Amino acid sequence: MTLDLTRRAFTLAGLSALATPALIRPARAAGSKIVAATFPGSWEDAYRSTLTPTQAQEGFDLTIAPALAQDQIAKLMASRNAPPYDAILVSPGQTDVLIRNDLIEKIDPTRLKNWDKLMPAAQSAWGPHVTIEINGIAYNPDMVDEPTGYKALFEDPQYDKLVAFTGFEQNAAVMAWTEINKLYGGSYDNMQPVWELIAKNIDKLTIATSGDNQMALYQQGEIAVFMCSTGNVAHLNDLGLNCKFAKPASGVPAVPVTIHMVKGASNPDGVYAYMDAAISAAAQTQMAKAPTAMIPMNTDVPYSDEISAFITPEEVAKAAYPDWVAINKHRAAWTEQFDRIVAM
Amino acid sequence: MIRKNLIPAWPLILAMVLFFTGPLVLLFGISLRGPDGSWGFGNFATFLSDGFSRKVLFDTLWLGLRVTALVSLVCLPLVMLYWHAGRRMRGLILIGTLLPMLTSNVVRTFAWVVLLGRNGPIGQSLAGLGLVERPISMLYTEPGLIIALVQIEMPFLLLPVFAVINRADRATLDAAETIGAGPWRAWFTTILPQILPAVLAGWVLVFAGATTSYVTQSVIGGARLIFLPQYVYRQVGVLFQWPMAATISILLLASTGLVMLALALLSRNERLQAHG
Amino acid sequence: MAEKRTLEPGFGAWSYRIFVWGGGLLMLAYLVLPICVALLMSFNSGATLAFPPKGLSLRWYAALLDPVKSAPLHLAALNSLKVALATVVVVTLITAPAALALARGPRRLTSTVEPVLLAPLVLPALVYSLSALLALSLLGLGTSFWTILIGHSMVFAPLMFRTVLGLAQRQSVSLEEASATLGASRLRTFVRVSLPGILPGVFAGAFLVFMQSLDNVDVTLFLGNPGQTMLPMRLFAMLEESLDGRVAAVSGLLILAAALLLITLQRFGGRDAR
Repeated sequence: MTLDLTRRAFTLAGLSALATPALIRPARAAGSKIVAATFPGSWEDAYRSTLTPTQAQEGFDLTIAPALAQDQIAKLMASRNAPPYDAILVSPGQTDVLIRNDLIEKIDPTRLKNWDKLMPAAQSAWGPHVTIEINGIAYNPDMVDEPTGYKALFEDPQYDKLVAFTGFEQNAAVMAWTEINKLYGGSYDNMQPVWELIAKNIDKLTIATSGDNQMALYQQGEIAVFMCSTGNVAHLNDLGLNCKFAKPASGVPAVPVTIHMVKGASNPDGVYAYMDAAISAAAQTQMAKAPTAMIPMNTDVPYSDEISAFITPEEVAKAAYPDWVAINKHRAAWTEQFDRIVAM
Repeated sequence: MIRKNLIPAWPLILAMVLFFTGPLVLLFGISLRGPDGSWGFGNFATFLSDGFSRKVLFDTLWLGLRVTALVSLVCLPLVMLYWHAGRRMRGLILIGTLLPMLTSNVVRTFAWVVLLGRNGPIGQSLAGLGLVERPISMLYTEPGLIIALVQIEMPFLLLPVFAVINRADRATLDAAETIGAGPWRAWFTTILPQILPAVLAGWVLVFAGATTSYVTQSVIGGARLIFLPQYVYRQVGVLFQWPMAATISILLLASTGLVMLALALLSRNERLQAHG
Repeated sequence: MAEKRTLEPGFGAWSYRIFVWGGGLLMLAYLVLPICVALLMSFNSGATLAFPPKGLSLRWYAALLDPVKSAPLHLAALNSLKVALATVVVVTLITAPAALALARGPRRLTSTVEPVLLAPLVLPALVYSLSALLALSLLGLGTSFWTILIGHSMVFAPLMFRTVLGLAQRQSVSLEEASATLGASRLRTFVRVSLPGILPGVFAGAFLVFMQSLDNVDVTLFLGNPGQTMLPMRLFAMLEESLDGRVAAVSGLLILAAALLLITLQRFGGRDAR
């Protein structure tokens, strides 16, 4: 149809096609290569810049592959016999799913030099916790007052049309919604209050497609408030944006993040080396700084100034740790229910 | 030499059967697998008996039809301009059509994120004119999505039409005008019929593009506008429901296929063919 | 509508001109302006993508070229180039001979096979990509460079099939027969007579396949190997997740590349004997 227009100048494409064989090099020697999944965005940047060089020194070719937690599981389920990742990075909500589906393996702690440096709470049989994400409410002080808690977002008109939430496929959203549900009298077995609340306020809310999508919306001035982790706020501040972290009066929800060994990983030695590097004092110190401001799990590493601005070790200890096994019983149903309520 | 050698065609045909048709047949097979391991049309019944799923299916087809109709409407003056324009102007229009098509889908979508956003020119000027209290965002709204999709899909209708309009017969138009038909009537009765087959070909491409553009639908449409492509992706990526994803895919294939088949049959219509 | 106009020729002609020139130019602007906006945003100096830009700078282009910070982006671009070039090679090798053979074959066969071979063009690529992933999963295979390559080759082969078939059908068979009767070998006939005739079609097809493969998200979404991110996936993620100015800078580069290509085409077109 349109080809008369383009007929002539394809020598270019033809010539470049000749160069193809030179471009496709055989993959590097198997055995030294490992593929580790992390969350996209600042997690990916931090892991690549901090861990890839140190792993290269030890002879491991570490590829950091960005994917949301649920996507990581979907990809693992799709190719059980040839898992696309050697190591994955998720929170307890997904860990439970992974164990039930027999997709990850318990680790041998003696193979990690830095294991004893970890806080006891971070020493899980299924892999080391690398940080704890603290959740709260991010807000733009130029546009709105500091929210006193979750209820204000629905009840104070100054927040109308400026608040973003995401669906239940996001861990942060699960934590925020279940907390909100509790405030309005619900429980894990009774989410009715939160469904009614969403249905009533849907036109005042922005529903983002992913957790990080909220940051893009914030950056453009589409929204002024979203359910965040301290890391999100640190990232936005690093971009030069004015953004503050508010702790909900009802308590801060917290969730550890864990590296797991994928069952059938092509290179277990590489995975252990990678885990060890991720919990080493050097890496944990680096990632405790801006822009990631990840709370260190290595007891040798103190809280950085960036982290201290958000939270203290005492508050982390007192944070609300949700019951993921109870949540997972309902999660698929909640996810579908949410989509149905918000669909236009 | 009279017996033609068809051997060179076999690699392509075999590859298509093995790597293209094969998986699709398998997809259909998997869609028949029920959640309890039984076989049958249970997933289809589940999907079609669910009001929400039906709405997603309907919304997807409705989106495709609206975009196709609007693209036609918007392209009409441009095609007429192309017909009347001189050599230079035609070159300009052609570049204007090819430029958005040659830039990446991501670029086009990015441009609309900026344009439709709260701080974009549309939102700002509405507020500036005092029509709305504070700048509004058209991102994540259906009108916003349609405005963007129409622009993104325009080249797929324009290019096939431009390709045939060059060959359109000018004499009939002149004849129509000599016997006293006004310019509107002359154009619509003599030129339009000649380009109709190309228009139909364009419609198929526009419809296919609008209903299956995963990127634009999710980045401009957002989480509250759910169409079949995202629905499929969510079944796999979030809910891990493979057979249901297969079922929805088959329905997407069948429903868009039916609409396109109808368009294709229309283009085989003898009366239309006679002019082409 | 048309009848009403003819009652009053003056108004008809007048409204026609306004519709054609006013409407036509307006729609041309609708088509082109978004691209101009994307280009303008790439010179934005602020951290947020406000329109109009607060100031002009090349900072996002600098960030884009930064070998450390943008390493993943560079890697993704390289991956995409590899796949696009390999796809062009595969598609050319299997499609061009097939199109040529079918163009010479019995008409009825061609008209039966043609729609089947063109189907991937209009079927949702996302559906195909999911089905291919399911097939791989059943076979116990994982995704890799090769799965993306096969996926792209299948979905984009019709583009080349169509361009080559169109030219081959127009080409005169008698020329080939003449060559054969004059004693030329099959190979010689192919190289001297058949090939030059379809070459423009092969180039046009290669160009389309290359561009489409470079820009594809749907196929890669399911068939892509997580360890090997492709450029459009990377850009899509940046667009949705961490909107930074580099998306604008990439857009700017792609727009400039497309514009340069078009200008070159236009130049060549001018000189070509039409």
